Amino acid sequence: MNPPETSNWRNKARKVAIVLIVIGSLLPPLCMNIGAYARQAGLSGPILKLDQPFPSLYALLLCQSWGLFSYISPFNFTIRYQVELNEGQIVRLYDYKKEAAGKWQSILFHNEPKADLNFYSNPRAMRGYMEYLIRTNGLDPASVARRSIYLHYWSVLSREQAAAAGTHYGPETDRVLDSY
Amino acid sequence: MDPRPTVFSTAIKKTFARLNEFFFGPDDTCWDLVRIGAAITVLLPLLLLGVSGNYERLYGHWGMLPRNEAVDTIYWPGFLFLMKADPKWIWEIYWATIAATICLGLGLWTRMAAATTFFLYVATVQRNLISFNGEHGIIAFVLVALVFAPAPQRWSVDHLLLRKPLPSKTESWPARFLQFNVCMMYFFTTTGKLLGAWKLGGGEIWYQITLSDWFRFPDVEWFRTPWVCLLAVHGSLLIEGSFPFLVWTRLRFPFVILLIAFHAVIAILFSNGVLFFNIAAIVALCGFLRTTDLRPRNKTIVAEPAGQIIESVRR
Repeated sequence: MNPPETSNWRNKARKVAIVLIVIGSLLPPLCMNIGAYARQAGLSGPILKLDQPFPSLYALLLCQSWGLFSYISPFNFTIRYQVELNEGQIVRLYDYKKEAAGKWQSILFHNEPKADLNFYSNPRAMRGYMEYLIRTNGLDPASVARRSIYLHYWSVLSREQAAAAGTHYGPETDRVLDSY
Repeated sequence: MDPRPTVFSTAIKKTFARLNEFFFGPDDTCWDLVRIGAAITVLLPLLLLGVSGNYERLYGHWGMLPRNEAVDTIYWPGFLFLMKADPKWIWEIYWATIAATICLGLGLWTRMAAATTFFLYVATVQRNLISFNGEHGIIAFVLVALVFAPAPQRWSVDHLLLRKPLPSKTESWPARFLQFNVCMMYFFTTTGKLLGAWKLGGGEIWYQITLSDWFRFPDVEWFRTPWVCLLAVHGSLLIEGSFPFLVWTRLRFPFVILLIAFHAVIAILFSNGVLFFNIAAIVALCGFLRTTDLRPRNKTIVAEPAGQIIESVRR
């Protein structure tokens, strides 16, 4: 082949490769989302198999399950961490780095509400955070007899319920998420 | 053989020509805006993490996910943080990320800066996935697009100070990669909302949102009036749901501006927790803006056959 012909073929091959890579990189998140939402919609069959993990792309944050603000919890909450020491004393644990931020907390720790949502769906991470709090609160892990993680929450009432109750929020309540 | 083209072969040829133009036609995306916006979206939270001590809390060897436990739980980019036992190592990564991000924002060694920022950013998030948020997913694909985007860009140190010429031939595929990702994001978000709690009807979900901790003004009652609830729910579903389809039509520019305004309003109405997510979404949306969108109407860009872009003034 003469040089212009070779160059033309190389150019075409390059373009095909680029298009395949671009589309190929988009297919995994496309498949994963289709499969996940098909499952949520109650569909059955091979479409559900599209929801496969793609660890190599996920590791690079390029395979996301998109659902921005699709859900909102029907209650407001904080997660509380508490330990019972061997001698029976109950100690509530605080994150002193967050506490030290004071009124700047909502700016300096702007992502904490999302971190709490991540904790809520990841009990193992929540237990890890408990150990971090025990360390930073100056307690010896060996002196802890029981660790408890509470969800402190108050429900948001529906429009009708709020009209009847005269308030938008339900009573504040605690629920044990983990105790070990 | 009959050399005359058939309808089928003509259609195939036209399709390939269009596809070629779509992916490899001249690119006039506002990459400067995307680049600077992405750098800001990475840099500001990073500075806040450093100032607050949250960086050490999340990613430190003795943070909430200690080094010895992280080995078993994290994805490979996060191993960068575990390479050295010295607790100061994470601060070397921190300053390297800041330096790379500043280079990206300034447009200094743009591609290298984008690639380095991408890897360090992903490594940081993967070090402790508790810190993962929506904006990380957006910025990741924006940074990948920036690695391959035409460079140097007009408003960059590379071009203005180092005198590197603007690329004579540009291709659109990095922009298409970014744009497809954005479309996918809005399409599946709308799907998720319709399958989830965002029922069409009275807009009850908006009523609940205004009373959640995420909303900045829970005491303002008129945000919960029925017509505002209806407008907020149906309006957002309509805008987000139709964007992936209408953005490819002539409505592209007004629609992108509308969605940017939409995210700006959310950033104002909602707590700081979603601020950088909305900034990230706006940055990604800038990938749909063209340099010609921001020029006076009498100036047009003409693409020569070779792909070189020249300016001309209509008389």
